[in-house]
Amino acid sequence: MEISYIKKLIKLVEHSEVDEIEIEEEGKRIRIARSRNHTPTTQTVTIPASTVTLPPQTGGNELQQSVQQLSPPAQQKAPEIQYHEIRSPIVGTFYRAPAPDADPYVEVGQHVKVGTVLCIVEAMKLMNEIESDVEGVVAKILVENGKPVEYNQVLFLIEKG
Amino acid sequence: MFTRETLLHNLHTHILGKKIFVFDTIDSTNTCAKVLAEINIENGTIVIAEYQTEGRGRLGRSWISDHGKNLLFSIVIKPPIHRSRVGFLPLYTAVSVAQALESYLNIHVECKWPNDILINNKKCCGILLESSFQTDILRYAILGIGINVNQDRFNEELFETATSLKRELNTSIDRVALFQHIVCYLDGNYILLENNDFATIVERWIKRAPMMGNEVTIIHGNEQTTGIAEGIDSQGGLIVRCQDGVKIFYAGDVSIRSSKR
Repeated sequence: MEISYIKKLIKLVEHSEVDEIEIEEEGKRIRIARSRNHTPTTQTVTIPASTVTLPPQTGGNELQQSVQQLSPPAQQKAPEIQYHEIRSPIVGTFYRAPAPDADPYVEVGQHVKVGTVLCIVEAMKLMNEIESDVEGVVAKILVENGKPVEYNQVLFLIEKG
Repeated sequence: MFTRETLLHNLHTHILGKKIFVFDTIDSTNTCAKVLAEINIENGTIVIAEYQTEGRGRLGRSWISDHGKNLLFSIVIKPPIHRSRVGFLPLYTAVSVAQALESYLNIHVECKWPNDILINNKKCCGILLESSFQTDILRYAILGIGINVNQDRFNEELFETATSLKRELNTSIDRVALFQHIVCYLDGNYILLENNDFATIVERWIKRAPMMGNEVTIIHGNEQTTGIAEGIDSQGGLIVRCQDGVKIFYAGDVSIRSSKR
């Protein structure tokens, strides 16, 4: 099992809703589990003998890996706040409220859940409600109301939690 | 009064209208359809009502329609199209409704980018589309269609720009038959979405769009741009030749300045 392969698996878990995966191939087994601990300082390398715990790639979600016959451990990075990005799925116009005289869907500092509507992106009179895919707090709103947005343009930063 | 039986009687479609929810009064057929779509209702499901208490247009603009006079319905569709192609949904909806009006009423209907349908240069139909994505492929879209069929009452502000089919044709129209025509054309053209055959949708739409080749003004927010409408781009955007080059619009209200009919 290559280190790059294991790193890919870690990234996969990190960017998915999956809490844990276990893969067995060619007699080797790897289990990657997500810990919901938000204090990155508790990361440890404690697995004896031929198993190692890798430090997480990001500071927000701690991932612990028990890897058989693995060396060397990856570089430990300083923890930093990782925002979750909400991107526009289509090219169009960004609207923060359902109607010009209505209140915005969300404000900075507001707590949002999975499925909370954050904004509308309109393209060719087709309204697309953009929902949050994480629970957290709106940290930044990056686009002004009524402005055009591109594919994949980041619209909101959400601090998970 | 609509009933499920009369609406579906002899309706021969492949995908659309296999399931229909009929209401006398509802807040908004689009809102109801969206709730049904979220619980994964089957493709082609229709919600229809005689009256909406919270009928709405784009960006919260209200849509006035007297009880029992018109057609107000929403359809949940789930064609597997990429998010970059959703701009063709307004054209698909508008051209299907236009074809149905032409076929059933034998009248001349014009399309205006992206989703307006005009009879004698007046608007008789409102289309409100909503879409939802979780991946790059469309999860569902709601086609909200409101047609002024036998509406007699228009407020002063809209008298010059809005109309009903009855007002233009001086006769009452059978709403059920018209509904079935519209559903049949949407169903017939649905295969074009399934097959990603957007060129055919555009071709049928352009045939009915006198704005093409003419001077148009696009108002978007505080910006106003004038140029010659030249075509539709690969995402459904309007291609306009302006003095300072070709621009493509994905939003805005269009007015047609001159007309070579």
